[in-house]
Amino acid sequence: MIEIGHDCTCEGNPLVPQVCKVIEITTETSDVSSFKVQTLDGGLPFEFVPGQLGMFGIAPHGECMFCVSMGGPDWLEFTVKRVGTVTKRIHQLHVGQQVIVRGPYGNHWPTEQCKGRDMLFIAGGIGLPPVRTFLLHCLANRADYGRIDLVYSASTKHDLVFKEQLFELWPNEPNTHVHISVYKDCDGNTCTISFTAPFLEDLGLDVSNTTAVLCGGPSLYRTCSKALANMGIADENILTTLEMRMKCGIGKCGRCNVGEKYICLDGPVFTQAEVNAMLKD
Amino acid sequence: MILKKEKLGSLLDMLAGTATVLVPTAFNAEGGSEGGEKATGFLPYQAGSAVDLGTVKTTRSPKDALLPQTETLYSYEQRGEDVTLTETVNNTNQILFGVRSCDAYSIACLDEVFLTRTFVDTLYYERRLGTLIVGLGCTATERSCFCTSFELDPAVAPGVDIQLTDAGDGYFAEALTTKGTEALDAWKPFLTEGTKPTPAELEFTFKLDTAKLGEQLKTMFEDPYWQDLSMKCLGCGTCAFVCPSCYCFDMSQNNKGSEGYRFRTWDSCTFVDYSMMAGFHNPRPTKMKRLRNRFMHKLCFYQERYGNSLCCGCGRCIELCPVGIDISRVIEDVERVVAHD
Ligand SMILES: Cc1cc2nc3c(=O)[nH]c(=O)nc-3n(C[C@H](O)[C@H](O)[C@H](O)COP(=O)(O)OP(=O)(O)OC[C@H]3O[C@@H](n4cnc5c(N)ncnc54)[C@H](O)[C@@H]3O)c2cc1C
Ligand code: SF4
Ligand code: FES
Repeated sequence: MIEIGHDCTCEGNPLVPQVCKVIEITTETSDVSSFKVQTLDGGLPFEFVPGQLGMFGIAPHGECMFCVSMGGPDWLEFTVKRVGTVTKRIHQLHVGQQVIVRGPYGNHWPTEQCKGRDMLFIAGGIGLPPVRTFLLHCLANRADYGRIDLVYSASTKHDLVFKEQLFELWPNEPNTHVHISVYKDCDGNTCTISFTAPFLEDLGLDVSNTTAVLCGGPSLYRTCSKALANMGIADENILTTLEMRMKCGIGKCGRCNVGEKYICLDGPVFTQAEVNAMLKD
Repeated sequence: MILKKEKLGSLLDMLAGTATVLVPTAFNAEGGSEGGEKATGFLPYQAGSAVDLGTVKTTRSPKDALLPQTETLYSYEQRGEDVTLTETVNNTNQILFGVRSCDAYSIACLDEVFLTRTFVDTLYYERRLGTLIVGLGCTATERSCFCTSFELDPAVAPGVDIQLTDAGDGYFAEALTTKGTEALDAWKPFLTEGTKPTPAELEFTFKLDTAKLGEQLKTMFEDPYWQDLSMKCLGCGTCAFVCPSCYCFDMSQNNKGSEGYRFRTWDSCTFVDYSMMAGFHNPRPTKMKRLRNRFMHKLCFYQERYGNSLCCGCGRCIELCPVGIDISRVIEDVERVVAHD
């Protein structure tokens, strides 16, 4: 039998969640809400680094994997899109209700390695929550990073999440440029109707010193990774997060493999170069 | 030391007083499905059990003993707003008696998965810690046996605590771990002096070259071969369920009023909903992709991660796949497909 090397960060059974409570709910869009959760005694459910994941759910209804979208001294936030059985139940939660949370899982954004570089964040729709912790880290350590661009798009204006930060907070940060676009009907004139990929090339970036962070649906991913390649950003400097069906979150249930990688353990963050080398179904 | 075969019963009687002894036993030895085919598995020993150490491989592998087909992870109860969870604790004390090399190798694979790589799976760990494994060297092979293709030694089961070698009218017993040495002490009253016999020369129907298998499979990921192979697959999951090393599991819950429990259960990557995501988005929407993933995982991906093959060559899936999909034939085909590419 194997000698057990315990570098397991969680105490106790990693598949058993802790009971936590919802302390705040923010409605982001018609089908996206953010949930701040805290342990029953008012503490942080778990320490995490930007990019890491957590299982969040309701005891009788099940649990799903989410990126931690923000964290405070004594709370974590998950931003959840209502898409199916469990997320529908999550959307029916009210403040004070008890939920189950376990984590942290997965690797994280390479915040250290990106120091000194210009950061280009590209996100679409529900792709912004996973990217937000990285962006917030850069803003909190502003001197460590160069120019910051956030290019965020959604189908309509109503599908943009984190509107307050997008429109009021982030654009006022030093050397930070927020570009927002929607693909369809735009009431009011706060945003332009456009597609993300062609726009990237006009940003006038110092491509040799830029790290791109890309998180969105398949079409955004496809078009933007092509555009980034055209601009001459090396695959090693393009970061993305992958999604696969997950159950255990700890690299045991076998569910989330892409080739020999388990997304829950080896990911979710990969460079474009790593993604290219994977045997994808 | 030798355990005379006539003493086997009294040894098992004694051991059954100290632990649950799981030993190869016919399911339907008497009564049951009369006239049905004989099925064997590692069942708890009781006086009078139809112990069957002669069967080369049991129909059901000993996987259940460490990773039960379904297992409760924790139970929960909701009172008003308050939710309480109660964790499952396994106080396992069991002896797996008569484990063949292929199955012991598979347990070593499960150990790698559940006990290493950042997280330790608590329930598996508890079961594993409370399990003594007694290996049994093979004296015969079945047509589908091909463990030597993966460099296994059918005479010595890897990682077992005590190894038994057939010595005609008895079994030569030797301890291979500290745990085994301690356990063997208690066997003394049933043992007599004797020397280790030379293990039987075994004949295998076939032996495959698996040295470059992982590398070769990677180069044929996009080959139409997988399409042809998967045409007849039923997606029934039999192959994964009878496999001693397939470990993928599903997690779900069962509710009754304000109580319930969350459990895990064996799963198979050949099931259509295995990786289905919200909005019916399925990264493996076709049988081709699912079956390809199965063989890639067994013969390539696991090796990339853990260093060895996840197939042990027991041949159970070969015998039990209802449509005759044969992993040994796939391994044979790889050479040919790669040469053609
Ligand atoms: C690494 C990672 C990060 C994620 N981050 C977020 C996030 O920040 N915000 C967010 O809204 N969503 C996120 N998701 C997606 C989220 O997990 C799914 O939307 C959710 O599991 C859907 O569950 P459901 O029961 O409502 O849907 P159903 O369609 O009813 O799904 C049933 C089951 O399928 C599985 N499943 C379905 N869709 C997915 C999916 N896309 N990924 C993985 N498993 C799935 C779950 O096990 C779920 O319980 C993330 C997924 C992964 C893998
Ligand atoms: S046992 Fe055969 S038919 Fe059933 S899933 Fe496995 S390969 Fe397919
Ligand atoms: S979710 Fe279980 S292995 Fe990744």
